[in-house]
Amino acid sequence: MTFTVFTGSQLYALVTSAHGLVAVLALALVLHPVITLRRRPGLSWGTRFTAELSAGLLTAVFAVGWWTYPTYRARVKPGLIEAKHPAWLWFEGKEHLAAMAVALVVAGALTLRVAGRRDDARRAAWALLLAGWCCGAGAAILGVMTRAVAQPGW
Amino acid sequence: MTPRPTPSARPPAGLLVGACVIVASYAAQRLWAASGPSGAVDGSIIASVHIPYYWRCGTALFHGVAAGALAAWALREPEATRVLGRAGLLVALAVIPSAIAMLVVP
Repeated sequence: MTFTVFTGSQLYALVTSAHGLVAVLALALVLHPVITLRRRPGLSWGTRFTAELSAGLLTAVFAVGWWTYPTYRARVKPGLIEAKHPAWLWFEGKEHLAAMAVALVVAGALTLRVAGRRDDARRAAWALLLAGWCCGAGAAILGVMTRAVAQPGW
Repeated sequence: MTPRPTPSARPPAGLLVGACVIVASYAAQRLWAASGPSGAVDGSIIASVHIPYYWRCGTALFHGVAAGALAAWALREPEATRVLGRAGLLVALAVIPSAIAMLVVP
């Protein structure tokens, strides 16, 4: 007797749910360096650690998004376009903002890594991380809106 | 104990320039595709040999890495320090118009 734990659609739903949850967790982590870089002088180990952890998590989430994107494109998007549902536009907007967020947060974390002892570099990292967080928050809002409708066979 | 020397401003300036170029390049490519002669929004294409999103991300990454490496190599220390001093303005100029454009032209 064999058991099929997840069908294709269920696996897609599972992966995209995890993708969204980890993305929100990573965004919450980005807030730590954004706040501490503004409020505290110098660079603490924890600030750099959370910046790098959030950059790593966002990169991993982005990679999972790349992995699931062909499935979305083939199995979800056609139905949304056919039904003239705006979720496919929300999804595209989410992808754009997510790509920007990852680039900005990774650059911010790397800036802290290579020159975190400089005041001006910490301010640059703060600007990059804050901009990345804003883009990521926009992507998260659009992602939640899309997630409500965009599933295979919706 | 000898204090550690202050790190150079050139690598963080390169990272700053690179990140801003990635964002601007991504948005420019998307807007270029949306204003194509066919008038088609590339996001509406379902089946094609390549996925534009992948190409757009890859090309933007290439542009950003190239621009960042060039900036880190070519900028002298005082210039890199000036670039870092204007980080907030540079990031705002690159990100705000790009993000708004990507929401208006998804």
